[in-house]
Amino acid sequence: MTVGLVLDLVLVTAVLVSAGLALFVPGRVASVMMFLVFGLVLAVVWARLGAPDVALAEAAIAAGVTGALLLDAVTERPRRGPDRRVGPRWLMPLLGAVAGAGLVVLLGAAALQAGPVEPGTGLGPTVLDRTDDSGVSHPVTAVLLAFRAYDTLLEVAVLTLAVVVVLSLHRDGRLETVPAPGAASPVPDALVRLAVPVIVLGAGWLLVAGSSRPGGAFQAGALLAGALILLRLGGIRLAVPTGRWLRPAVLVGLAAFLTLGYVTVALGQGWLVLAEPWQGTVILLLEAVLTVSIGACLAVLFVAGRRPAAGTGRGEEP
Amino acid sequence: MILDVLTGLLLVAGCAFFAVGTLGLLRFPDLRTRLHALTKADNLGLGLVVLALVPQAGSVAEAAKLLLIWALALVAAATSSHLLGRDAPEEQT
Repeated sequence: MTVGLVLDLVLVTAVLVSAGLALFVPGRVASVMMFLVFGLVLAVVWARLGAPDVALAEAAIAAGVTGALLLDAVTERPRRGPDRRVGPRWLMPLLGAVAGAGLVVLLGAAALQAGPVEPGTGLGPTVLDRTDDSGVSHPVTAVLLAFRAYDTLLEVAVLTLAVVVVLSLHRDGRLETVPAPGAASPVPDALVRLAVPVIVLGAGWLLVAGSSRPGGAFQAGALLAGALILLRLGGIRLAVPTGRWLRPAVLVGLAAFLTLGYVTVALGQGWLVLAEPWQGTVILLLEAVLTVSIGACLAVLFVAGRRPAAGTGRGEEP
Repeated sequence: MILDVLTGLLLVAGCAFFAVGTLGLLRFPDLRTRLHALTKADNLGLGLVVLALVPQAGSVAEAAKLLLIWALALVAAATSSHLLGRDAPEEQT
């Protein structure tokens, strides 16, 4: 048994155990903590599988930003709302079990249908052959923004749509009624001052590095969102756009992506088909805009999860 | 060779601190004593592991990034345990 195999077995066990604990450990905060541990272990698994891009995304989005959202949800919200149980007691568990079983069957069938991919077949070699044509030298970025840009466009659209839906739950459609935390006490304030520049530097690095090595807009955007959330919690109210700049910041990524699509059509190249010699520059610029917009979207999701001030929001008691 | 031995010694020492910190977390009675065990042992443990990896780093930049990770972990751990210790209600033990 080699060292690598032992490490893999430990990792697989840790993933399964942390997933099970996240579901079944008593207490909401403890579940959230186990979910974060699960995300971190999963990131290590992705890194072990040689997929550093996915590992970065998992660590930054699933363990980082989702962690902030979940922790905020379990600490800021009451344990349970008014009892809105529909139907008899066994109905909801039964529906959940049926839906879960259906998902397992569907996903299992899809996985069986896909079958194992022999090394050296599939789309991998094609992508590696064509990466040089895409204007970037990192194959994952080439797939995301050159070969399958349409998929990435839809991902950005899904995120934007989610933010729009969340904003629609606030009476003013903006976030001006959500109270901002006051100035932080000295110790967290020092953390914000120390950490935010490093995080922003890291986000910029991930963005630029994305064209030649692991990194990219989603990872950089998640880091940026973390920095914005830290700033807001540190008492800098304007860090997360609310009010006038909210909608432009949320929409600019999707708008830029769509504009790029229309421009490429108008130039006669085809939908989102980029050509020499500008493609590398265009991809980097688009990723820069996407980073800002994704960062703003994720940070806005965090702020929108907080309660509006009493009397101005949805009419709830504080 | 000497560097490898150094790495091994530092790794063992770091893991020992992690083990002691975890033991303290499990055995100590209340939040503040647990924080005491966790912060000191984990910061030292991580620091020793990082120091163990520095001789194995391929370049100065790589070594500097490892040290930066340690520094960020120190700052974050100090802040979070300060907040936990400050805001926790007094516990009767």
